[in-house]
Amino acid sequence: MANKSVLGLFVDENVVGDTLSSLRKSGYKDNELEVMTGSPYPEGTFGEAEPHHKLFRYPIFGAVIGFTVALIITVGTQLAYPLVTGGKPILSIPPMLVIFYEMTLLFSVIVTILGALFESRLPKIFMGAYDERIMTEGYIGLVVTVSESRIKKAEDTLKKFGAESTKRGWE
Amino acid sequence: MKLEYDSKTRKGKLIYPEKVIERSLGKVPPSKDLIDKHLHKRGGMFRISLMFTAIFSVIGILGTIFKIINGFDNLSDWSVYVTACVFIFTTFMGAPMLSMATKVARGNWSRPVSRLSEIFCISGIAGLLMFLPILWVLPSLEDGRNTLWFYDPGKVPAYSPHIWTTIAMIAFILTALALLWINARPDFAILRDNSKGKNKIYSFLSWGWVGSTKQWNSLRQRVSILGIFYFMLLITVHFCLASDFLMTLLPGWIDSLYPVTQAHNAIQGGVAVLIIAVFIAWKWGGYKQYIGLDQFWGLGKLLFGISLLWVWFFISSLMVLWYGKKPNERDVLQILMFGKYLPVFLGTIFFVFIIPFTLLILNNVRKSFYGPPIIAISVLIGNFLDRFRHYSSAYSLDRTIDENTHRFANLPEIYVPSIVDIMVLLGAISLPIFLILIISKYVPIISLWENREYILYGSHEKYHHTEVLVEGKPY
Amino acid sequence: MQEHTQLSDKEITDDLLSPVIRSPKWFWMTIGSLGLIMLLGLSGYVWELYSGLGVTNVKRPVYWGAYITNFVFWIGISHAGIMVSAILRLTQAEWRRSITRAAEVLTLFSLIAALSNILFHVGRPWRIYWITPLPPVVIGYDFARGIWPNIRSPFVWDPVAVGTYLLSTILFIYTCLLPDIALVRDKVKSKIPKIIYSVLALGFRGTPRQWKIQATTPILLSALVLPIFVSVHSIVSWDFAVSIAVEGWHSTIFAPYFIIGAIHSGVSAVACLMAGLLWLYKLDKYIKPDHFDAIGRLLVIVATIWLFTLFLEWIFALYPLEDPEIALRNMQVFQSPWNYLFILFLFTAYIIPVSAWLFKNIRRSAKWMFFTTILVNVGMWLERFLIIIPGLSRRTELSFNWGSYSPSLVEMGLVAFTFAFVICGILVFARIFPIIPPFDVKEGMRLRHVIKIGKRNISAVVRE
Repeated sequence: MANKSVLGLFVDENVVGDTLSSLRKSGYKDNELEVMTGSPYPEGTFGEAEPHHKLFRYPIFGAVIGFTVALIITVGTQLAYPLVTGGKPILSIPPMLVIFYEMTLLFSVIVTILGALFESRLPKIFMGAYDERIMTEGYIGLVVTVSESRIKKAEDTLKKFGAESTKRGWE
Repeated sequence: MKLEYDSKTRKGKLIYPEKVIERSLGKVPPSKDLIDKHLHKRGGMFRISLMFTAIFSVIGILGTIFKIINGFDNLSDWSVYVTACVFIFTTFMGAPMLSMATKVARGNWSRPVSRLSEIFCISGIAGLLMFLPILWVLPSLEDGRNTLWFYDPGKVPAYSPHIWTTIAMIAFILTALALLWINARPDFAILRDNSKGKNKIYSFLSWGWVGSTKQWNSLRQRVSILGIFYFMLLITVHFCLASDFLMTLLPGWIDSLYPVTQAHNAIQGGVAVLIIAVFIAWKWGGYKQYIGLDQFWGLGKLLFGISLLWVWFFISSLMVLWYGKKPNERDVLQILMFGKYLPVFLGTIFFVFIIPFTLLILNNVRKSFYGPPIIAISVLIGNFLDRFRHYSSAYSLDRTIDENTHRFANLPEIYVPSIVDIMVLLGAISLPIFLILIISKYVPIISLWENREYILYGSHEKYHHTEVLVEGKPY
Repeated sequence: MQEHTQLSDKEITDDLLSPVIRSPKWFWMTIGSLGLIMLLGLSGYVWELYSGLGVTNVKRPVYWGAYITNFVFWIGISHAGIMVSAILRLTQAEWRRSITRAAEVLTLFSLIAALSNILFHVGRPWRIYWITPLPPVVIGYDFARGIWPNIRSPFVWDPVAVGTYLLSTILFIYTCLLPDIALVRDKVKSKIPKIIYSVLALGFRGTPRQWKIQATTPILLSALVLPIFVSVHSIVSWDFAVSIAVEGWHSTIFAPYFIIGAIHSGVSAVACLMAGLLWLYKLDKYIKPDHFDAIGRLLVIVATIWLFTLFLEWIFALYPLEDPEIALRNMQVFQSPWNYLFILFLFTAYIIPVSAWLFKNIRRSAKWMFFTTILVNVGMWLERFLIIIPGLSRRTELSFNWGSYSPSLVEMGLVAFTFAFVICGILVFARIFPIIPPFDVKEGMRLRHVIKIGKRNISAVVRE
């Protein structure tokens, strides 16, 4: 059965935290619950599960790619057509260091950005349950994503805990 | 978030109130534990260290006397001596910089280690004592040595660089000592009021400190002004040492960046030696409650950044000297890097850059108790090798010019230290440590007032369903 | 940072998005005027393409003129933007929130302006792609001679470094912009802009995971971009320093000297930009006198370090006591018109601004910071001019080859073009995206605490 989502809009951080705790106690799993805010909060403000990411691996991975590309560009192109310039050896270390350095950093940055998008689970084509007031007015959204049979109960729980309004998602 | 908001009409605004935390030091006395730790009799390990450093310092002094007896004419005999002296200035005397820099940046993590960094200024006395014989070693301007000071016979005294460097060095050391005393005055007052038996010493050192608002304000002003002077004098001393006491002895070496490079190396060496001192205080000094992972992490990050800068300074010089293939520059590179001193050069790169970079880039190593100290030892070894390849090669250089090629007739072999040189080296490392150990008996190595001050500005607070650190910055 | 105005999310959104939602009254007039300047400049370039480089005054022995001066100048300006942003992010300084994006955007347009100068400077811009080592199956490879770019040349290092920096800056800005694009997506009502912003926002919703990545990525990128920033201007400085033929260029201090000069002129440009944005968009709730004070104090330190590197450059140039070098320095200091330019450069780049910045009232005043920082950039443009032109004018041993140089109308027009381009670019950016990050400011409001000690209230901030 396809999953459906319902969004509850709240004003108070503590109410969101309490709602999240009681939803967990009612049997909802962490991956069925999601908080949305218009600006960052300190981690754990709502008692949400700590997001784990592997973002720190991407720069090193990118650096290795960049180093390899630099190796091919410098060594490969200069040996392909050896032309002595300025009395320097064909493979001169100081200039090669410059190209190595730049390429390593460039690919490190590119792969880090791609990693950041991947770890953020972007691009997300279907946004699910969402309300514009989260970004524009500072409301806090609590989204429950469950099977269709449980969605009504989730919506009632959100209303019971004082959600300003609830909204079903467009999947 | 507070709701000043009517949900029916949807009018109003959601606003974050400023959370107010009340703080007071009124009922919080200075840390009794820290006072007791400072005042209690030092243990066996301290006394053994004191004894060994004293013995090696005497050996070093004897070595210096032998050298003086042998005379000042042969420059190459003094290579290692000069290396050792400059090593003190590029390690021990760079450490106080951390305290000044973090006070300007208003970083709270350095509070437990700032006093330890300031205490290193006492090693300047050892450096100055070692430096004095070198004034007779360095040729005067009359001997034809080229200099930055545009020597004009009769217009500039022949020993002007010697005099200016000595004045700069004395000013540097005095500024550092003044900074230590000014920063430690409140602590001396605390000890005056809490110690039994040593009241007279602390009364004298505290110099009438009562903690009035005027005194605190003037402390802050003096520290910022003297801190700036300290930095300027660090640059000046290294500028004088690197230009007159090094570069002018290697004809053909025109490197406008090197004085700045040496000043930077001093800061790097200072951070490294401070990390080791902090580790010793943490591991064996009984300060585990006060020195934590944050301090090693902060110092590790600094060491990492500074080691990266080392390579930038190095490549900046190398690229310009290497690229044009001018004969004088090629000779300089042969002498300092690619000739006989190649193993020393490779060792320098390995210890001062490759090891810190490859290890400190890993977060687990940077944020650990043992990682930064081990890497700091590597940096100090590399720092010494760097000084060695510069000063030993310059002082042991044969300056005969070949008439046909107009280049050096002979490039220097690696200078091999003699027994007397080893004695001097041991003394150069031990005497600063000895002086630091002595002064630590009177100056608390963890600042009592700074750590007490932090109670006002830093605390853990509950934040909805989590806990956060709240830090205030009053200035 | 003691001054503060506590605002609600809605107020912040409305204030910072109003320039995006509707153009201010002065906007189109300003864009029009700047567009006119750009058009005039570009028409000069069309004339140059048609007639050849002879329309500039670049000739033997001064082969590098206003274009290269301008190139180095804009590279310098571009540096401080990312540097200020990166260092303030790494040190978690609270006062960064209002200025990081403006600084990054300044970097972006300055880099493009710098690269455009290379396009103006080369004689045959249709061959500029030869600098790229694209494989034979794509254009870029000189099929006739089978030559690859010479990686031993500083002119190959330059595009690699500047290209890396440009791409990194674009990616940096875009990643940090994502939450604000999402905000604009949710705020705009018109259909087509909503679709465009929705596509650009990539579906950003503000989940804790996304915010955690948003917090971590700029710190990682700052740590990666700072080494790039150091390398770019070092490499540009080596265009001059590795040459042994030109007096006044062959000095190892050039890399730090150029970088510290770039920080000096760039941070001044950031301060100038902040003052401009404050007036144009009425951002007094977000840009406070404390910001200018902090930047002013940084500038005093940076300017003094810069002066020291200038001193080192001069003193080590004279140290070998070589006649050509001494003759060049004599010319720069005592001979007209160089002596007037030199004095003007010293006064505008250091003496007047730094003397002014020693006073707190001037540091805290947006008006005074605006004018003193413009003076700095006048001085720094002259500094680059005085490095490049005098050395070249006496480059050869044979004195009959010595020449002089003054920029032609075409060159001055294109220099004006670059200034208009950068200002126009920033204004257009501010029209499309919020120039102060709303999410960052909201976070600052939320994390703000007050520590009350007796009668004193001290601002405090949450550190996770």
